[in-house]
Amino acid sequence: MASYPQDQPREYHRDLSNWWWLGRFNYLKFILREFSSVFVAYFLIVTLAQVCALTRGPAAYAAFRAHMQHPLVILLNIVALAFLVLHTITWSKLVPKAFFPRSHGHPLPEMTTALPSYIIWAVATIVVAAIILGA
Amino acid sequence: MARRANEPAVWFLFGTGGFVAGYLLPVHILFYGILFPLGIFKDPGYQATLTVFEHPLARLYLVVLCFFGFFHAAHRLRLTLVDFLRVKHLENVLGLILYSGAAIGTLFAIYLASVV
Repeated sequence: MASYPQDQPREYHRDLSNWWWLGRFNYLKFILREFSSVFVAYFLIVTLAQVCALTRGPAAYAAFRAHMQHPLVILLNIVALAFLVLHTITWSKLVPKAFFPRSHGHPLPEMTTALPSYIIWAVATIVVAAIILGA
Repeated sequence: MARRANEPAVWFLFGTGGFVAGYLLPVHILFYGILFPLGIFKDPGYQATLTVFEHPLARLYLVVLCFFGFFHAAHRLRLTLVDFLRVKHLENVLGLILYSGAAIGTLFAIYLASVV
């Protein structure tokens, strides 16, 4: 039986540039949204460093605060805050949508499904801010 | 398809972590990262901040925030890096590194919560 290598199924391979995520605004938004996780990890580490400094006494905590006052650190934190806000808004829009029942076969409007999440975010922010400021 | 067996547990961690970090971290960054260093709000200082973190609920808060937040970030970063760098073959190695980092961060948070 003759074989016909040209008829063998070949793996479909699409050429994709390493810069595919710059191709469309939606791709860029996707990548920015996903990379918010880097800033989540970053500020968790900062928070651990803060508590670590607290356990080591007033001098260590003063050094931590001096580090946080460096202009580049403040700039980094402003960028981190922007990414976190992007994360919380997109997460609130995306995840609850999956848990809400559909009304008459149609998904509920995004504002309705995201609203409870925004309210929880606002309450959590006010409570934590009150504790931080009242410290 | 057998490896999907652990997916619901991973997704619970990942999804909850997205909310925990999303609700709690922005206000931390706003005050400790921007407003206190700029002097727009007065930093309560060492003693007052220590008193807050010594409270049992604050210790629990730290551990919960770090546990869910770190695992959320590790999982998302694994998926993102695989797509972004197109390194599907490195997915398990990346996962091992990132989840180990998340575990170390969580263990450090538990240690700090026990000594603060």
